[in-house]
Amino acid sequence: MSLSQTRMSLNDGAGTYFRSRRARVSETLWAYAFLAPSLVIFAVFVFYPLIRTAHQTFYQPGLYPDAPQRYIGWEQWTDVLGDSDFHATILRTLLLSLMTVLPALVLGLLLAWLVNQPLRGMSLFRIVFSTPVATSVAVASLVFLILLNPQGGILKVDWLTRPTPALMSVALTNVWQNLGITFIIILAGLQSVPDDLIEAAKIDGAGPWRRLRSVIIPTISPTLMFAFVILTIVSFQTFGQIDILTQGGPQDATRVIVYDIFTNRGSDPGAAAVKSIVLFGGLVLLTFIQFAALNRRVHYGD
Amino acid sequence: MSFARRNRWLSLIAALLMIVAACGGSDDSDDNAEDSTPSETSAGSNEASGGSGPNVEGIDIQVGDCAVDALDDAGDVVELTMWHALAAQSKTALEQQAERYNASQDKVHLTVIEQGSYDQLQDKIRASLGSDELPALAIAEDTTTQFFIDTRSALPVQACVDAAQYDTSDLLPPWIDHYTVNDVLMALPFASSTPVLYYNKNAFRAAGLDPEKPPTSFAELREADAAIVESGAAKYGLSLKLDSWLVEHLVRRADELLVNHDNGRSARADELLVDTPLVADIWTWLQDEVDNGGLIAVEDKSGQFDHFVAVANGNAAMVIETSAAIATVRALTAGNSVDPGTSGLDAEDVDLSKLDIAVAPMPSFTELTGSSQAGGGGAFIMANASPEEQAAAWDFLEFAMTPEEQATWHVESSYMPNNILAVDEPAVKELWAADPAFAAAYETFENVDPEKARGPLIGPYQAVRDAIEDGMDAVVLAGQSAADGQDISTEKGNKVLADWNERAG
Repeated sequence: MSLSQTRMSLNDGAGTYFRSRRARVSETLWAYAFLAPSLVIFAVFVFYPLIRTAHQTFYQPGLYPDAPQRYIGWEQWTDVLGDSDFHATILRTLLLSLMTVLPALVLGLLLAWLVNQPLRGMSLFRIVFSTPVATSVAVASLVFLILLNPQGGILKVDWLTRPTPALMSVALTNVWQNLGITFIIILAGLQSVPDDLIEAAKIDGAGPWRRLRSVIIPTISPTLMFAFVILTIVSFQTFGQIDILTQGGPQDATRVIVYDIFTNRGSDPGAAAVKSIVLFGGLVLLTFIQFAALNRRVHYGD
Repeated sequence: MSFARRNRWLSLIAALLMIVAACGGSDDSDDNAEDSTPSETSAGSNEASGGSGPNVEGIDIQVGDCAVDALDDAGDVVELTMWHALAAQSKTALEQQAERYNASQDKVHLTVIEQGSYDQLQDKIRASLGSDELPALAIAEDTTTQFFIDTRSALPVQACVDAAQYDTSDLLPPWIDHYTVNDVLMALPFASSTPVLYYNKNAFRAAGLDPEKPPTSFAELREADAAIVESGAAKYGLSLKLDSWLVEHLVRRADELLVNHDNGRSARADELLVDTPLVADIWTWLQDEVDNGGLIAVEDKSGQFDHFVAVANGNAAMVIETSAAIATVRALTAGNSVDPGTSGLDAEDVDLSKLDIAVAPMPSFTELTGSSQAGGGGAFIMANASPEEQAAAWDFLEFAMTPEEQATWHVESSYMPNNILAVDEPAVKELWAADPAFAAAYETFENVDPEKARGPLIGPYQAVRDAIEDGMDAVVLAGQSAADGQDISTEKGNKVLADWNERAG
């Protein structure tokens, strides 16, 4: 919704580009003035740490607080990038992302679509399906831990102690955790679908399934894409669930990049820095690919 | 539009370059300043006099000064903060000891703060190095001695011992030796413990085993497992957390080393010695026992209590764990509720009628019953605390180490009495007569050769443990061969050691 609005306002305002040069300059200055506060915050909490991290990849820190750092060039980069364990970690992260994003998107769409039907009591379900948003990662993970613990749990299943089911359990927790925000985003998109569009489809004889497939999904595709990108980024940054449920185990089966960085940070800060930059670069790249690939298929509406 | 976009990118890049320039510049000046610091300290060093014991080559410990009289001059009450990682009943015992200390004098006020597990505590110390966030006193895991030396973050307790002319000869000799490096005592033994075997006598009776004759070797352990499983007394015989700690203690008991250079005590360790027939045998034993259905093995992770829970709910009859859990086990079996967050379960969830838990020394893996390894937590005084805080920390430690306090400490926490005179205290005598479980761990260390009880010195101890557990898990949980597991551990462990030694310079 928000994306399509932005796009439309850009189109509407196309005329402003042809105004005088002076007006344009002052407009740009105003824009920077308004951006300044967020730029400062970004600079202090994002850009500066990012640069420090990049810098750290070339140095080996000493052990005591004021110990001199030793410049070691690309050594840590080649170590990390050539490490087969790290390759496995990247693959595992992609797998977890896949197992999180797709089910969350499908379930979120399904729930939002169901709740969007004009029936009694839907507002209750709207609240119920949004609740994961208000649940902290720690609480959600503890709930799943209590459900799944093989010795004292409620289901008493052996999922967290075996490699493949453990990763799937983390994905399950992830899906549940992210379902709320996905649901809210998609529901907002659904509510912006013009009624006349649906009416027209009905008159053309389209059933509910056909309306969903051919009218609603294409119309809300910018929203779906937004949810897709957000979910991908969130799933790449999964941490709390893993720390509480499996701590990267069993046998590294749930050791994804973020958790790998976390466990490296004390014993091998250089490797942790390299991995952080790799994760950052990977996410930027992935987001660009998603926008590039999906922009063509996304219908922004005119 | 394209102009506007390019402009935006350019300004962003410019901003980033400015940040790069800024931090690059500051770092150069840092390096210059840092270069001079170490040479200064070693020039004006206050090195320990070279004594009789073997010295670790290449390690230079600055003993420093401990102003034990600073409390007399301090006008106000000195606020002393102590970090610890004790759980359940032990945590309660520590808090009570702090209350007694605060009530006993009016110069120091001690606050104890729990920092999760030993690993988390060490992480926090690591993260706080060089800041004002560190406490003056920390009960850190006994394995962190080398970490404190290399990070120069501890004031060796030796400084206070010397300044106060304190006599350490009554403190547990194996532990004193364990914490001594190059004749400098780095920490006082505080939360001292060792692995013991917990077993359910009721399950032993149901399986036709003699409840007064617990297994003393791993061969007997296997026989007991089989009898228990066969009779249906429990689903499994033994329950274990696959903890590197267990391997380390079994290795020490067999009189072997965990790392080279005499366990890191003659020079910095740079080789992990798990590629031995003994370690292969231990891992294969565990793997076979899992395959036989006699052993339930769970992964080592913080907050892992499943191995205890398995015994509590009757799924297994035995578990090997720290002697420090005795007090908590006793509290649970007496029906007292223990903070479930730190013990893993609540008394309400346990069918107490099935449980009759006894404690015995940990079975040995080989014929050689060399000695248990000193373990647990040591009291480290932080180097960058103020002289008043350091004096306060020492004052508390002197209070805590008295025979009376150590008797109470042992009774309430089930940690070893750190002062050997405590065993003559009536409270301890009564307890040992009533419940031999408490005596079992202590007996392991009576008449032990301290040389054999002291553990390895390893800087990146936790990372080495992770390496050992990676190999052990691969064998026991994933069914790989012992040789494959040993390769995994050796490769990872050696890399971790090499990295650390490089950073140590």
